[in-house]
Amino acid sequence: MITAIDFGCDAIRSAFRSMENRRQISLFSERAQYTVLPNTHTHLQALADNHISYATCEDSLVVFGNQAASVRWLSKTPSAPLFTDGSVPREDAPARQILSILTRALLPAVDTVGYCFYTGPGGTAEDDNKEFLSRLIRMHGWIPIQGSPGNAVILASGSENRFTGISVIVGAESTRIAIARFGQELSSETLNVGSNWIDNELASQHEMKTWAPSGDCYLDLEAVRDWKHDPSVNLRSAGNERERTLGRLYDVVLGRIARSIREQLGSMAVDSVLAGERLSVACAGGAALINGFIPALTDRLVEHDIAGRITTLRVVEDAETCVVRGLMIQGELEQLTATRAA
Amino acid sequence: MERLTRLFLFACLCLSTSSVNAQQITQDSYLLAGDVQTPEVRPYPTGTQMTVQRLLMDARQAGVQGTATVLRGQPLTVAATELCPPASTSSAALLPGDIVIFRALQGWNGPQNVVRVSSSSVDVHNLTRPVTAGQLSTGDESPAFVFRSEFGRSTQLSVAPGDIIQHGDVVILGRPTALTTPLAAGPASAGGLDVRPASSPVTIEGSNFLTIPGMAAAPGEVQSVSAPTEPSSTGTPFDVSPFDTVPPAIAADEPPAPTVTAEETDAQIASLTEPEPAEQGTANAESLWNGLFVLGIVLALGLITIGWVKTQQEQRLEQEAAARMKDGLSAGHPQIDTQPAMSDIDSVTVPGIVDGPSLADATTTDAPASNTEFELSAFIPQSVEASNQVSPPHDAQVDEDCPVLSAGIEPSQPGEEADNRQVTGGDTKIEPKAIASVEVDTLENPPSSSLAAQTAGAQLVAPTEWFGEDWRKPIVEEPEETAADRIVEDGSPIADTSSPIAEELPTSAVAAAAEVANVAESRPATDMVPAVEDDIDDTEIEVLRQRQAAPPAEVLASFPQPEVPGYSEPQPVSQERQDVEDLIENRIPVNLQQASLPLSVSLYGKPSGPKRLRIDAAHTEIAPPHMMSRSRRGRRPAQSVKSASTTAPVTKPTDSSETAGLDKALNYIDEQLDK
Repeated sequence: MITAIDFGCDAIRSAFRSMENRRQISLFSERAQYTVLPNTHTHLQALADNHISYATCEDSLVVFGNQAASVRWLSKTPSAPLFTDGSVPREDAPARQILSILTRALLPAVDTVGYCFYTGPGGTAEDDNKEFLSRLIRMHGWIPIQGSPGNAVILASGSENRFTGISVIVGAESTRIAIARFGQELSSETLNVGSNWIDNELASQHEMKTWAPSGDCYLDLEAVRDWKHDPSVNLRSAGNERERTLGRLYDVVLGRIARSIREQLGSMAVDSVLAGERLSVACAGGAALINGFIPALTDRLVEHDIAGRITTLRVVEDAETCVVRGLMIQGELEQLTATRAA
Repeated sequence: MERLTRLFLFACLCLSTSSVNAQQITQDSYLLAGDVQTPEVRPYPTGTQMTVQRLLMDARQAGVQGTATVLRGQPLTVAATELCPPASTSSAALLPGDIVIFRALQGWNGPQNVVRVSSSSVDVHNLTRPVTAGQLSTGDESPAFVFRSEFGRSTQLSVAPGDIIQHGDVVILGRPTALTTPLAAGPASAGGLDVRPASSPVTIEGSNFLTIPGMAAAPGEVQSVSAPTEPSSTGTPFDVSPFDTVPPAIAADEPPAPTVTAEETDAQIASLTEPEPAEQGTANAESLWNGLFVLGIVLALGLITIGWVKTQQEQRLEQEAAARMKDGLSAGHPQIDTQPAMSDIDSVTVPGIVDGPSLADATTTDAPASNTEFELSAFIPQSVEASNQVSPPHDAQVDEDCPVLSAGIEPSQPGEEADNRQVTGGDTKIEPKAIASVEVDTLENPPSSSLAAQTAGAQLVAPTEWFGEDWRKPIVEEPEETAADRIVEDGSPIADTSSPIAEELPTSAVAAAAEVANVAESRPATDMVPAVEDDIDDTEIEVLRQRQAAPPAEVLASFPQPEVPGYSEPQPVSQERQDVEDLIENRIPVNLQQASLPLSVSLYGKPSGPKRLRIDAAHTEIAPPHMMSRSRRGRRPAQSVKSASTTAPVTKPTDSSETAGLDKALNYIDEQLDK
């Protein structure tokens, strides 16, 4: 059996073919965050009445997953990410345990040998994440096989381009740029900047803060995200100072993406097999869903003088779930090959 | 010689008449041809706008890169040429009666077709063989010119009756009389070419293209500027003169007409000075090209015949020389008199090769021996059993020229065949072509073929009695093929009794293979049946007859399939592959489900929570205000202030500015309290 799981800093998603019907994919998605509540009888009663799963740890209650956002108002404290700065937290034991609980809930029960293709947060802590997450998957009975998110996007959305092209995944904590040819990744680079950096900068510059009853001050990132994905917000038509700031921040990230693409196109690994060939760019990730993303990236590509190497520039249809679907494709292709070889 | 024979067969096929499938276009339909699987006339949908892209999508050619040329109106003109897939979402609109020619950029290996436009109809023909322009003539109309679309460029070429029509062409038929009459009548003829002096611009209003009477205008307007009145002595029929390439013409309903510059009309004026009528010239051209074509065919036949006769003579001379040499050697070496005489040699066929029919037979039989090698891949699995049974003797080599050599040799006698049909083993080496020949002959043409094995004494010359070994072809020691190497693409394993794998095969499989080989051998000549029946009983004969009556595939399917290590039958991966393709194309429905999380669980540790923007250090002791410390020192005892931060165990040194601000605040509070 093949399953795929994408440990994202914003959400953890898993996908596998339905047990009852192979022509259907079961997709699970849980937010990679938790909310801390006071451990009082009132809060416990509220959680129990609403059938919200929670965890107790020392003197507080923790609600994790998709329900974390819905109970945030109970404490007026922002949710905490399970992956701190794009890595498995070393000083947050409950977060690591929550990761285990979510992994068990997202993976199906396996009775025979099953392979789980996974990806974790990239960046500088990628090796540590790989070690932790692979053990986590193995602990739940699956054989972990790490996949490349860039290659997964190419497999999920590059069939019309013969699985050849450039994939850009703008994640929460990191951005992955990869160039693949015929489904094989030739080159990739991970930038330690993502949409969370944009949200933090925007909240800092515009004093978007929230205070807990205890007096602690937090950046109101949830308000930034809610505003950012408003349909009226567009990167190319800023109406106010906040939108202009958002556009400038995106330009910084997109500029680095364009520079990375240019460097990779000029690298030996890519230039030796794709010299002069025009490629298509597939963008994925939640940050790519903002209005005006493609025109902004086009400007940056023109600015870096690589627009001539690009044929098409698009945001994939399922920008948030294409990584896990691509991992599933990769797994099934491997299984198909193994079946033939046997 | 074999190639010449094939060429002759090909020429015969070309000369034979063939039918073409025709579909006719009407007013309310349009036609798609070219690089499409099913060129057909499609009804024009009512109420919707048909575009080129939609048409290609209906024809399942939307994803193929290529160019679509739209021919429209009367006279027929190139209305649009569109690159597919388009760079933008806009696509050229189609009108009823349009002819769309799609040409793929990556080449085309599918069915070929041409579109024929006559005065009464427009139809598409599926090409199964090369067709000349003259073969597309209907009644009194003959091909005048063709539209040829290649790489997005459409050109109009004049054609002669002997010209080969290519796939994707649009052949315009016209009456030869209509071609020259307006030209001979002078300028400004009705619908004709306006011929003017070279210095003046020439209009080509409605002159260069054929009007389609079924779709609009009168047949008398059929004209072609580039159609030569007689074949040029300097050009071939495929030469494209400057006038052959006609610029995109204007539809008849469009009032402005393009002009042709004086340079373009020079050649035309020069040709018009020829007083010979165009009709007679066209007729002469047709007859001349037909004559040349027939002459070429006759010449090819003559060359084939000469080559065959020469080869026969050379072979006969070689055989006679070999016989004389052998006689001379046998006279000096009586111990090798056991070698058969020349007459005996003629009666022995080359091992592994069917008695090849003569050249005359080869042209009439359905499956000539020379064609059997093309069937190798298809019959390799079935041919192994026969090849294992009909094994030539030691060191027997099969030459590719063996079918030719045996063409004039008398077939061996039944008795000899019965004697020679012995299962021999050892280091027998058979080339694949020989195996194929045996297989095809035994399974495809059982009644007419005869299979003979060669004994050791059937060699022309013993290996040691010639002057040297140079005349012999070197035996290439090929590495033994493993069973895995012999697995062909269709997945059928090849049994090889000489391999260790075959030794592990069940004896029933080997016996069945031997039985089939005997069946295959015993099929051909009916006069051999008594010899076989002498050795087997009636039951076996009945079994053999049943096997003979059964198709080869059924016979082979009845064998127990040997199990080859490392090989398994092809798994039903088609469904799995389809599933993966659907997953790649995102065609599988996704069911977003809610994960079942435990309702309550205990965790170890203390959650760090979100990042705090500012953490105030905990003050263990706060100094009193300076003024208070001076005036009312000791009035208020120092009290500890509990910081709002509860999760920052590490105390940080307080900033002087923060302390000053805090002091001011406390001072303000004290003042308020004093009041």
